[in-house]
Amino acid sequence: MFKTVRSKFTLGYLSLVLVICFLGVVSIYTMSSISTTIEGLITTNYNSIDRLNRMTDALWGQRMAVEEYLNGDSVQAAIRFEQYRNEFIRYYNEEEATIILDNERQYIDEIWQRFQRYVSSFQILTSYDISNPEEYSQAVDYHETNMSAYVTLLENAMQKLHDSNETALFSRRDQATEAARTSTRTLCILFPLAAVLGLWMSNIYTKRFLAPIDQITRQIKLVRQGNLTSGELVTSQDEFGLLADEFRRMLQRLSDFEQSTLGSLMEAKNQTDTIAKSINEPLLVLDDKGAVLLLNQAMSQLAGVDESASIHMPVRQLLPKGELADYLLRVLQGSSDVEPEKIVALADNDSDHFYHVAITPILDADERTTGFIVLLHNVTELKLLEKARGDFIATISHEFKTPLTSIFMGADMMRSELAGPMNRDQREIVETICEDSQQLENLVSELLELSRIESAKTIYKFEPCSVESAIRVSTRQFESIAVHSEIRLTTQVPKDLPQVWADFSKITWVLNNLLSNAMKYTNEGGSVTVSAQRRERDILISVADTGIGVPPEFADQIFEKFVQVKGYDLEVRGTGLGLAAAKEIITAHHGRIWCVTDREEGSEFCFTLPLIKEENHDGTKCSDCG
Amino acid sequence: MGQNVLIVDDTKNIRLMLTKCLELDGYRVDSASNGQEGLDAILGGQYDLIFLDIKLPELSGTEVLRRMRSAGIQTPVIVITAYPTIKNAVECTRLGVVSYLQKPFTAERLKNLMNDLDLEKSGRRPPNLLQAAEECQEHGDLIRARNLLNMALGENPGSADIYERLARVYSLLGDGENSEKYHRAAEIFR
Repeated sequence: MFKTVRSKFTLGYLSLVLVICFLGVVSIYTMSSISTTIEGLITTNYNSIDRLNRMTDALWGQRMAVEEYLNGDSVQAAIRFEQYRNEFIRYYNEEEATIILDNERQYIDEIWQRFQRYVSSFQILTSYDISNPEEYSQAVDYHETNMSAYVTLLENAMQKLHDSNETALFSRRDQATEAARTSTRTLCILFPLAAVLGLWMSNIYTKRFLAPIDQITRQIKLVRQGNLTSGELVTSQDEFGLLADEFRRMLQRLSDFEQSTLGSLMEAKNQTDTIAKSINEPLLVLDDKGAVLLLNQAMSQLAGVDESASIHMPVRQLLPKGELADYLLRVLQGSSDVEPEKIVALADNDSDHFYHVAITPILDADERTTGFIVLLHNVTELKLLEKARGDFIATISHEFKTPLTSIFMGADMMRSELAGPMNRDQREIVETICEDSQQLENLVSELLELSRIESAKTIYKFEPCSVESAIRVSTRQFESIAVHSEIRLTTQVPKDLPQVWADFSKITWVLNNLLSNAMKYTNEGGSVTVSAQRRERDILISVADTGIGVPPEFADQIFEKFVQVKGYDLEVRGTGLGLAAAKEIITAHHGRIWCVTDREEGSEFCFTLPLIKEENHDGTKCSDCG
Repeated sequence: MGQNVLIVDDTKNIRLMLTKCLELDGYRVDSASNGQEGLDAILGGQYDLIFLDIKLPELSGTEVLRRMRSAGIQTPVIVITAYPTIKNAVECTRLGVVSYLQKPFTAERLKNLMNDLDLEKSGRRPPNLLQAAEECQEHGDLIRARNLLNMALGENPGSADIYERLARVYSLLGDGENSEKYHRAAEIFR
């Protein structure tokens, strides 16, 4: 019945209303009983007394009429007597009608008898002829003895009734006073009782109302602390019950979600661990501060540490000082010029092992780096193979030189016609042989240069170098060729360029190569400009010409080995190795080389060399000690 | 004219071509195909110039050079090599080689070299020492380049340019100490 909170509230109020009603009823009853008493007091007793007084007055009028009858106008007096008698009777009848009590009935009957006797006595008096003096004196005598006695008796009877009424009056007054007192006392007790009752009931109801809210609040607190079991909860059918039901359902869902999330997380973690363990190559997961989050067995063997002991170890503690540690630290520091992957050498039991290191940043939803996955791939065999290949190429190239020399000399001798004159056809043939053997020689020397650059990084001799003098040395070699080919060769180099950390001869070689290309592909009357400028962290060196230019689609490819620009079949052509070698060199310097594509005329090649940083002064540059 | 030249090389065609080339220029040419044979010829004959390959069977060119020098034979030697290394070049310099001729070379280059050497021998100097030196340097004949530059320095001892060029040649030879020395000299004269 009282299933809703609304009805519960109503019930609470209703009980208070009932208490008030009870109080009201009690008060009304008390008040009405008092007023009944007072009314009775007024209507019966007081009126009786009033009527008795009027009867007394009427009786006194009769007595006056009797006196006048004897001493004055007898006729008038007899009439007045009659009038008073009627008045007396009227009040008597009224009084008689109200009489209830037995003793009063006795008094009123007595009054009536004695009044009758008095009236009869007046009849007797009137029988005397008062004009006769004797009879008059008899009449007076009668009046003074008999009638007076009758009056006195009547008055006594009336007095009795009067007294009786008076007694009743007082007794009722006391009764009323008592009732008033009692009701005051009752109400005085009832009001505090009602107040206490109301307070108690409102307390009970408030508690009953708030109990489910308290329970839910407690439960929410538990949930906040991470306890997702629903525990004991309100089971009532009211709104709180509904709320509790919804809450329970929400808890269930939360708990399900947590369990499923936790479950899938654990599953994912297990998967990750298993993947990491099943990879035979060394794998390392770092957080953004460089502390180890995960490493597999291969990695712990490589680093020579215990797998479980190295978790949360900083990477600089895990790895021995060397190329790999330097590289990882540079990536962790977020240096912008760090290559995303690299091949490093690690000394292990006397022999060098080569690892290809790939570092993949772990990004969160906001694209912030939260860690790194470092995967090492053992490329020692590949490296050895590559070395064998390089050695083979080098050997072959060297072996080419000897037969080339014979061809050169033979063709030269024939061309100079020392061994006899030739006809035109023969001369053309010999010219072709000379030309192609020259081509072959270029190829051999560039192959050798490339394999020399590739074979060992230790060949680099890094030292503080002046870019200006490198440009000067390089351009000087081309001055005579420039004059001969009628090409304007200019340099734009600021005087105050800072030094760079580089191998002077390698940089000169790169410049020579770029200049040689520029010269080759620039026609007579064109110009070649070498310029350098200081930038924020490096120096930018550019070689620009007004030659045939490089098509944009080849801008990247030309740095690959054996790539030449197709469709530009010129008489003068390189071997396609020079730019590849130049890229090797510049990359080893932590610089960048590229071909500017958006030029209207000619081509422009740029490369950068990093300025000397503080760290380079102590000679710990990794490429140098490699 | 009519000088005696010995060619020590294990490659038949090189011997043949060199012989032809020199004979056409009027030299008398003997040849040996390995180190021991060469050394015997050197010790037994009178030669004005020796072409010596470094990579030889039985006895290496460097060894031949060392033994003939220790035997007191000061004949000018032109070293021929297909495997130029700085270490070898420096060693050859110490053993007083006049030129470090790198394969492949042309008949023209050989002729220029011979002309220069003839001129030097007869007490005259090549017409343009600096250009010749630069050419030699370009062909990797650093020893001859150094010799020519030294010659040029003898005639013009105050030239910062020659000092600088010498510094470069020494640096290419891997002799940092001398390179630095000449570089400082160039700074002084500049």
